[in-house]
Amino acid sequence: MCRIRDLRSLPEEELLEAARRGPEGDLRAFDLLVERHKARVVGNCRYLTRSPDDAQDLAQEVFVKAFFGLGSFEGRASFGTWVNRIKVNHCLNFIKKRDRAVHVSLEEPGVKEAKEVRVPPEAEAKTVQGGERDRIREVLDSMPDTLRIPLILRDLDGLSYQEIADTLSVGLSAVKMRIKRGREEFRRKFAKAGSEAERN
Amino acid sequence: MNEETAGPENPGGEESLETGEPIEALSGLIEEPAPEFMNRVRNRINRKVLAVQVTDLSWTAPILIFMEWLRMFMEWFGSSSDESGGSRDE
Repeated sequence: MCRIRDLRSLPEEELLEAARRGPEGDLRAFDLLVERHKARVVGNCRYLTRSPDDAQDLAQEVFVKAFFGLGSFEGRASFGTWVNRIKVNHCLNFIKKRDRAVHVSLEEPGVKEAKEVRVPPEAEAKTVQGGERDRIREVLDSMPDTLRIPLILRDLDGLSYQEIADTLSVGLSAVKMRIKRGREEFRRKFAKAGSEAERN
Repeated sequence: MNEETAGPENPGGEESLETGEPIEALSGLIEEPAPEFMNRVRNRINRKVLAVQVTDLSWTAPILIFMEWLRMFMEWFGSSSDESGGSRDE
């Protein structure tokens, strides 16, 4: 029987194989895989969905899906890349469901004032406080989905332009345009937040 | 081929659009999971495994029970025949 210390020293490919072939109910190898990737997956979920409250649950669901998908994982990509794909699809489905839930006509009375429709103005105001990571967080939260999501998929997840286009079901040129505009908007807001923080 | 710059295979047109330098601050961005994160993942997995096992059992249990009844009936029927056959022999 493998001791936990022995498993920890294994490279990821062997750990993955141990997780797939392990006896039913033995989660030790899979636990170690989760340990290695959980911080990144939680972070991605948080920034993709703009929801710190849901990020932990979403990340847990991603790993549960990965566990039950181990049998069909062919090993052509690394475990991290494979989990990344599960995470991206899971978060995008969550965003679609969430957006559908608040989809109303802006022409209806009272809708424009509804808090679910507006990007919270305090998201921009908060960029003047906190350290750099807080500033990054607040800048990302203040960006619309159309710019934030492709930017995160590219600069945080490292997906290729074609992969992003396929995932979001948009054209390659649209993806590149959104990433270009996303980067410009991020830099502009981040610089503005930095200078306001210095002034304060 | 660096995807950040246009290449000879994409001369001009929208596909040669420069997207600018990546935001380096994003590349290592992580969030600390909650302390109970691992326990929750394990619990979710164990609950799903249990649900699958109970569902399997709910399909197979009636068949198993029927088979047991059938076996008990055959044993009883078989032993009853032996007794009546034995009494005739006397």
